[in-house]
Amino acid sequence: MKQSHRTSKTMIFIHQLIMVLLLTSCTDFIAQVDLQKEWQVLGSGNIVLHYRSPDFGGGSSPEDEEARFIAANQNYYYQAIQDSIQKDFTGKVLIYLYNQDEALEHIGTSGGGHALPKVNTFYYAFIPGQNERRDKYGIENPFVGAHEMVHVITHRALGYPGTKLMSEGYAVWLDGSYGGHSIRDDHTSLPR
Amino acid sequence: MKTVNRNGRIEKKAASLTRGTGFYLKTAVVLVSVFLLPFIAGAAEDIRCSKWKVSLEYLHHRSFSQQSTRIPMKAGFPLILTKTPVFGLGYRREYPGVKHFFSAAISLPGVLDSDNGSGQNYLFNGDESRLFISKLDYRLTMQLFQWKKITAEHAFTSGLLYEYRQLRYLQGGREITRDLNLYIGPRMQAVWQINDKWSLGGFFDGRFYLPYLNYGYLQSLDEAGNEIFSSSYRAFYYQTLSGLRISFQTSAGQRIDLGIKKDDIVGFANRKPLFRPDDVIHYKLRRDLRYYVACTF
Repeated sequence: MKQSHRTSKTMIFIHQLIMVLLLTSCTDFIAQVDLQKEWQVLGSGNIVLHYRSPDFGGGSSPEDEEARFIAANQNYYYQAIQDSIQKDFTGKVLIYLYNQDEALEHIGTSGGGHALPKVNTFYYAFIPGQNERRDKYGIENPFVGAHEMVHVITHRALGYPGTKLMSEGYAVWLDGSYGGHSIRDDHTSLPR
Repeated sequence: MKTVNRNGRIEKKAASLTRGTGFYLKTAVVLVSVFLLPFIAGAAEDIRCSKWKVSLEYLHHRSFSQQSTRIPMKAGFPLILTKTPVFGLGYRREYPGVKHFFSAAISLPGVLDSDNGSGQNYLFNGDESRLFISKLDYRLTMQLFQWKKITAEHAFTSGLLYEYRQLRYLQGGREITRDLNLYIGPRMQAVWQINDKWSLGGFFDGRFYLPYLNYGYLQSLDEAGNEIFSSSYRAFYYQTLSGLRISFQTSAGQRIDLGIKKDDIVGFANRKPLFRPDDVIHYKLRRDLRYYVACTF
């Protein structure tokens, strides 16, 4: 009898131990800390661009000149978006530009990015050889378009949109492109 | 009832307040019931032990940004940081076979800073960005087993967490979030009685904040203080707390604890109570450390 009691206590303990191990590691199953610190930081106007140094690996890194080109474009979009929505926004926007081969692991995509307007930030994959195109703002082959910048500025200046569809649609419209192609080239019936 | 704010936006503030009041009322009923249970259930002559506890925690708070939305998510820069003291008061009552422990804690408003990955704050005006936390906790503990000098216990925990966070952006805009969250969850704890004076303890808590038991309110204000957006939200968070302590029993019968707790929380808040992310307007992705000293008497 005593032996059986002890066995059941042991079983309960093992069960509890398994539960603890599962529950303890659960937050790491859901979210892992991934502090990427090796950045070159370029501050330009209202943009703080974080990009990888040339010898970083994980795909091609932007040359310094390309980084300056990206920052200048983003500053241009920054103002153009405000002009479009007729709202002022003066906060600095942080851009984290990952090399293409490492981007999937760190930001979940190697062909674009996503924005976190709460912290004026967006993450993006640097893709050196993209489609030849001129965007709606007249910029030739921008490495990073205006899409994520639209999310940051509109969410902060106008508030969170009612639906995801509205948010994405507005960003595509203001960016003027989808998947690296001009929406006016692809959909010629759209109003100009 | 709809109202019109200064920007001409129509708000359903009154309706949202009504929902909020209902929530607060339900929460109050649940809490009062839970907290009164041990006093109703146990007879006075059965009380084995009755003790108070005071504690002082040093909270090192780190809130991460959701770098990747895939599961497992990646938590990265920019970080929101603060360090602030938290004051606690607890009361323990023991009956044969069960222990009840109640505690309350309140923090000083912590000044929030941000780190872009190279130690720079490009986001917040630290003087006006604040995090304030207060909480009520309850624990019903039962012994699991005793082996030599080791005692293991398991517990049911529940409580209420209130959190106020104001992010004052450098350009002047603000985002204010207020969270009132009820949690429930299991706990395991073990103590190794090294000798008559010294003991070593460890614990683990898993806490579930369910969307139907939570209420939050987010407000965005522009530089002039005009409201540009506001919405209530319902959060679904999962929190794990694990810790270690070393304790010393004084000859006068008091116990002094010195310990550390790792406090992780992850989750999101939609406008509607949902268990999946939909229109996420708030999130928590935190890894806090709490160093504490406590005295039980």
